[in-house]
Amino acid sequence: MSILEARNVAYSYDGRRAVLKNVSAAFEAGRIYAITGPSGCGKTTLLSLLGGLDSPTGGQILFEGEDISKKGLAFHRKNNVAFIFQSYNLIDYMTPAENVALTSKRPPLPILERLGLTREESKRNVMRLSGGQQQRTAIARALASDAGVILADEPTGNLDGDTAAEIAAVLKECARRSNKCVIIVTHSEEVAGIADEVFWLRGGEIYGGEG
Amino acid sequence: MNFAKMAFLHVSRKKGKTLGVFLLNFFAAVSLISGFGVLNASKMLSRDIRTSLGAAFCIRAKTGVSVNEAGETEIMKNSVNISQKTVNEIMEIGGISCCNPINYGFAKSGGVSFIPGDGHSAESDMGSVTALRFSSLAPDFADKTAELTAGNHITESDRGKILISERLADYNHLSVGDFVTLTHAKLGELDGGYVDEIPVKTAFARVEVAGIYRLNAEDAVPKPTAGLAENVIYASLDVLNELNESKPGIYTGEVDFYINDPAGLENAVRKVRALPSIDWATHFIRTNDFRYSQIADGLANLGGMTKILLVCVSAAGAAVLVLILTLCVRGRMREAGILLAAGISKGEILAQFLLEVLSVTALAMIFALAVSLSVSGILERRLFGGLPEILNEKTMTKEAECGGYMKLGGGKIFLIFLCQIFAAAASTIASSAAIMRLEPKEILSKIG
Repeated sequence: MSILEARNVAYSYDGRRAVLKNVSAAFEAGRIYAITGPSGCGKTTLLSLLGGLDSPTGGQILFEGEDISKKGLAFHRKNNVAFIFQSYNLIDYMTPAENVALTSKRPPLPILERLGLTREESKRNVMRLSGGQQQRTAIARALASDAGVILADEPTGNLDGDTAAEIAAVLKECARRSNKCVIIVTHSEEVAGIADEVFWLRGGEIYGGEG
Repeated sequence: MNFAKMAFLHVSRKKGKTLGVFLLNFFAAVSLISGFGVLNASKMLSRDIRTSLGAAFCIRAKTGVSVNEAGETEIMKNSVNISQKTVNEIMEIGGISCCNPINYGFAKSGGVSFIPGDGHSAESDMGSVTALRFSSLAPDFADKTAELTAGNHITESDRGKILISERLADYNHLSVGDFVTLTHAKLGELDGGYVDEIPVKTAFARVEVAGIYRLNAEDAVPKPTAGLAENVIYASLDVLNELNESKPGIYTGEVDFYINDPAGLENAVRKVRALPSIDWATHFIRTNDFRYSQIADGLANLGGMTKILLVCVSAAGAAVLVLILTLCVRGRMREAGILLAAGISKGEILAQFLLEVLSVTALAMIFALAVSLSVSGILERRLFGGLPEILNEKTMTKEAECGGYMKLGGGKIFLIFLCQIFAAAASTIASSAAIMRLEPKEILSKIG
């Protein structure tokens, strides 16, 4: 059974310009998905709808078979999904450990260590870390939460090739080890290459298949 | 992580922003406390100046002019007839500091020869008696025509005490502490000469010379002996009662009332006029607030200007406070978006922002209070340092408490703080609301 599903989802700005048309896709736990396509095709919009950052203008987003609008989008964001952004989106006056503790009551240091941050780095202000370390912190924050789905928007977009490969590997390992569903929006063929399943978006329509 | 811990982390880590909000609130609070202190000072100073000037009104008898059958003009002079009961009623209307009833009469004495006046004779060898409760408030002493040079003024508690002029004292070798016996008399005219209309003496009063006064003006026209200013005896009220020229508790000369605050004169007079126990057909009220009326406009203008200045300072301070706090919160849009994406509720985010602003505001106000108290103390010493003594010297009763002009009461300071807290909270909520209205996706798309 899918943990998250987009069913006949449509989205348009101001009711005129259709970004998504009748998009349907199902995502399962323990698997990693990539959504790719040209710029402006609606990848990030679909991710936002899956994560409850916005509401579709048509169709439904289902979490474990239930429409997420029933319990509210805030509930969905708090309990079901976790985000990883291209620009990391960390709270700049906190340490990595405090950023991880924002959404989780678990001790943050073990998970940060697992992702390659030392204890000293975990207690440093996030703005004094490298891009890779900041993205690892963002991943740690997503993993530390109890969310079953991790939504990553261009997680390697700001990173160099080696670091991007490391982050992609970390995400894949997370999906396997934590049995989480990881959905990655990406332009990168390397990142798409690690996915179990790849979806293409073009002209507001989705084309899916096994990776 | 709960919102309180997040607020603490923001306040302690974003030191520059925290210091900015702290200083903004600090200066706003100092300005407000000092501004209201100055307003308070202007009000209290006006009050003390008014009190030091004082004002009075007196009840006097009406004088009528008529023409008799022979075509001659006759002056009909009524006597004042005010009882102590009426005086008590007037005192109860409030704002009146003291009352000085005055009775007039004449007196002779075997042991005192009066300064001879026009048409002086043994029969007209008498002086006029002004019996009153407080001799220092008599018009001649108040306007410095007469000045006490020895002894003490007559006060309410004195019995059998008189004041005499220096010349009369020298003329009779009298000094303070000497006793003389007075008897009743009444000045009349007969065949162009002055006579005593009470030839048989039945009432006597043994009195002590309590004080001696000097006259700073001389009689300009010839007067009978009893009419000379140097023969005026100021006496305690009981003296004329003993001489059967007045009755206890009935005042027939005039009754003067002194009020603390000249601004209340009109109201006091209006209340007195409403008293039914006074026959207004034969009495009238005369007010005296000449000195106050000269500066009343100035005092009103001072108060008005201070209020306008304070309103301007408060409005400008509030505008800057709201603007800066709004900018501070708007600058947190990215953080709000991240927290919303993480599932943290809008209420918790608003609570965090509010807690940050209010905790820093409260801390700033505590420091501001301490600084304002010191600043107010220095300002007060510089601006009003010598005033309390000067004003106290001028107040009639010398009991008025002057000073502490800029000191605000706890209630007023609490209100100022409450207003500032409200302004800080309102601007935080208003600017946060602009962010919270947006969907998380809109916020995140704005911040890129």
